[in-house]
Amino acid sequence: MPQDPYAQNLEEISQPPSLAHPFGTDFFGRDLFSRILYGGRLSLTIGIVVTFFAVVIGTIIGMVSGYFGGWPDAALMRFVDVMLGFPRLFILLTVIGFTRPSFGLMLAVLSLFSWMEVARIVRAEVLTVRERLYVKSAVALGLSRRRVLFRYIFPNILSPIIVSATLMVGSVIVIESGLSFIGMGVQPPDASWGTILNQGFQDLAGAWWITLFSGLAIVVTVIGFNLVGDGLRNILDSKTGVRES
Amino acid sequence: MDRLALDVRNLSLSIQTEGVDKSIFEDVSFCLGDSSLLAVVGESGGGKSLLCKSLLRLIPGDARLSGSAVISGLQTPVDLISCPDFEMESVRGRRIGMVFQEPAASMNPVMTCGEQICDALPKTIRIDRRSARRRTTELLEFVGFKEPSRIARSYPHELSGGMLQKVATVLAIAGEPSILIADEPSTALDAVNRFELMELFQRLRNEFGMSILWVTHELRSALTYADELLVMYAGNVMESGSAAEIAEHPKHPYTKALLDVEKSFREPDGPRPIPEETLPVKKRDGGCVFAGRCEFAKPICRNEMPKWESDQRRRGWRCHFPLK
Amino acid sequence: MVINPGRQILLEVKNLTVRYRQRNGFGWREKTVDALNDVSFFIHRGETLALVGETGSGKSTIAMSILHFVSPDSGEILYSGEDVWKFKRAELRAYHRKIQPVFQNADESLNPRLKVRSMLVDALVPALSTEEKNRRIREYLSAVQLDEDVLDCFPHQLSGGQKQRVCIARALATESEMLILDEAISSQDLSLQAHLLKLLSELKKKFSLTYLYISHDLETVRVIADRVGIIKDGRLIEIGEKDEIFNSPEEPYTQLLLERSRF
Repeated sequence: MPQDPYAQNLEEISQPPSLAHPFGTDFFGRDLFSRILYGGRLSLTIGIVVTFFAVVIGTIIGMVSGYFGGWPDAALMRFVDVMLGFPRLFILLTVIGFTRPSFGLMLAVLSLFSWMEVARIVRAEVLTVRERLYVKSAVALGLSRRRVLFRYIFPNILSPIIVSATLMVGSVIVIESGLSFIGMGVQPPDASWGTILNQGFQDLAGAWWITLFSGLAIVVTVIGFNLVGDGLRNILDSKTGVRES
Repeated sequence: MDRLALDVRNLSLSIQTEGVDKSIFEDVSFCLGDSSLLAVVGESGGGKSLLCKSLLRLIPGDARLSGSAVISGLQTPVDLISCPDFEMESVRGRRIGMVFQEPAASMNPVMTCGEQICDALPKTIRIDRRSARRRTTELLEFVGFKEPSRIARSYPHELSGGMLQKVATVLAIAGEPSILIADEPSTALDAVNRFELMELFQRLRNEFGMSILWVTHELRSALTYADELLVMYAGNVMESGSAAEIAEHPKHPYTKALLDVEKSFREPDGPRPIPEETLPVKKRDGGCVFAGRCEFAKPICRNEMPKWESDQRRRGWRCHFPLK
Repeated sequence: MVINPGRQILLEVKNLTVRYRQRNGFGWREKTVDALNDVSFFIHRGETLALVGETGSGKSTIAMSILHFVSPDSGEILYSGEDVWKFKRAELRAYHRKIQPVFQNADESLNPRLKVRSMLVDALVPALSTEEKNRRIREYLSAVQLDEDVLDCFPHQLSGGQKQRVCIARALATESEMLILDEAISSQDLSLQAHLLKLLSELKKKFSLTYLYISHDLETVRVIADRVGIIKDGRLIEIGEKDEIFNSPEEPYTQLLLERSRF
């Protein structure tokens, strides 16, 4: 039963794991288990939200680029190149330099600057699928371009998008943890796994459980998403008879 | 045809699909003699392709293969089914070569043909670049190319289907194997190229004593070129024996049906297909796999799988009511 | 209703030339390859014209040009007298529906993520009521001798022959006038070939169709064609009534092809 992650209990400072506190307590006597659960909310939120925007924006741009070709393709791809020229971490840190670090800021900047990779992958897939015989057959049926794009091309490029998305959730969580670790992300008294990890570092040998459990949380979550992605892809592909060679 | 290049007994393959064990082919037995051409014929999807791949163990990991397939020849006999993986590596390319249906798909698009052929040559020749190139040119000449150096310098996408299939054949024989497995090599080719490929196979048999296992659904070609025939339907061997005998006196209704279809192309009313399967899939357990389409089927055919019968001359069939 | 192959010309190809530009790996050397050179022929309404040639002879390029997938470098393609390469978007879509392809590889012609029903619905004229759509789907399925069970299947659950028949049903569902069969039959096994040839012959009568049959297999051509054209290296070297070509070919290449096909 999670307790209040903000409740300080100065009598139970730095307690190793026990029945009352399965993950132990931190330097303020706060229950670590509860803090990790609550921190998870923050990390997962940012991972999923950023990935969502990145995938949506990237997929739209990639599909338009790959399917229509010509000058829209050229223009969009130059735009992607320009955006790729902005390293998102530096942008984030610069903006933070002008204001204060905050969760919302991380969310916004990462969302705006993570879609480029997805766009390139989607575009490459669309270019391939576009030449497939069943797409040509669909065009030969006189179907509108929109129909062809959404019914014949989009479902067949889902696999790489899913893989990309799950990897991205993991990498965004790691980025957020890193930023919080150096104090540029989530601010106290809120805590994400990165901030907890940072606190743990202050007494690595002594209160080892703080570092251990926060680090473990990050690793397990990232691996978990990758596995979910693999599983989703397997289900999708098996439903349509595509076999992994 | 005294020595056996390949002796296959009771070969069976099943693959797990969507949780259920699906039998691809079962109880396949045949003998491939020296310099012999054995054609495996039957409709598409009968498991013939996977039969070839099983002999070289090019099958998915979760597939289950049982039985035995022993290759002899000048080197020590090896059972392709039960030997350890590392031994298979010395078999592939060196003792058995394989030609696939789609030449373009089986070749590396970013290497020239010459480079790929060199890769397939035996180590002793590959070590010296000059002898490797000389052998490559020799092989390309052998298969009928008038400009072997130009072909060697070309990439796969620069060559036509017929030329590519000849290059693929070179790749298969470069390692000097004694057995060649050809999986529908001429299906994608037109009449002229097909003819040249078959002529090439004949030369391989006559000049190198190569034994060829040839999978095809073109009955006409099989009857023209093959010494022996193996007739398969839905993963089971229905009839086997000398091609000439089977053409004159088929014992199995399916063989006869196939021959009839072939003849019907030249009839004035046009081609007549074998009637469609009448039994729903679920009712087919246990009996002869061809019972649903056989014009001679009796009740026992649906319930009991017929046993394999043969006479001494390596002629066999699996039917309750073989034709006279 | 029996169609009388009267002398009305449905499709006319005039001086069609198509060139491919081939680049090597990094795009330095450019080679221009003539896929088709000055090809001209016509097809009457209701007849079956077969185009025979080796792989790489350009016969598939002709199909691709007629189907509006590969643009000609020069020449015209006239359907019912109109130049198909001058069509605007709406006319083009209507044209697509009138002239349907059936390709060699049924596996690749069907969207792996859609059930057969969806694909057939896509082919139908959109402005129909649901009952009418269902009725027509059943009609086309029975025309190609497929059971209604296949409607709920994905392509990978069907056999090769079934897939090819779904492709044919789809081609019919657009109320097409002409089918282009590009090696659709030759790589199947003999029994399936026989089946499809019979089917195509029945469908032609039932739906008053015109066929352009592209193949390298002379046996099937002999069964299905009315007229035959021989393509070699991008040129149409001979064309005539089927019996003329088979019994008294003039070009040496045609004679060679015929010889090699006899066993």
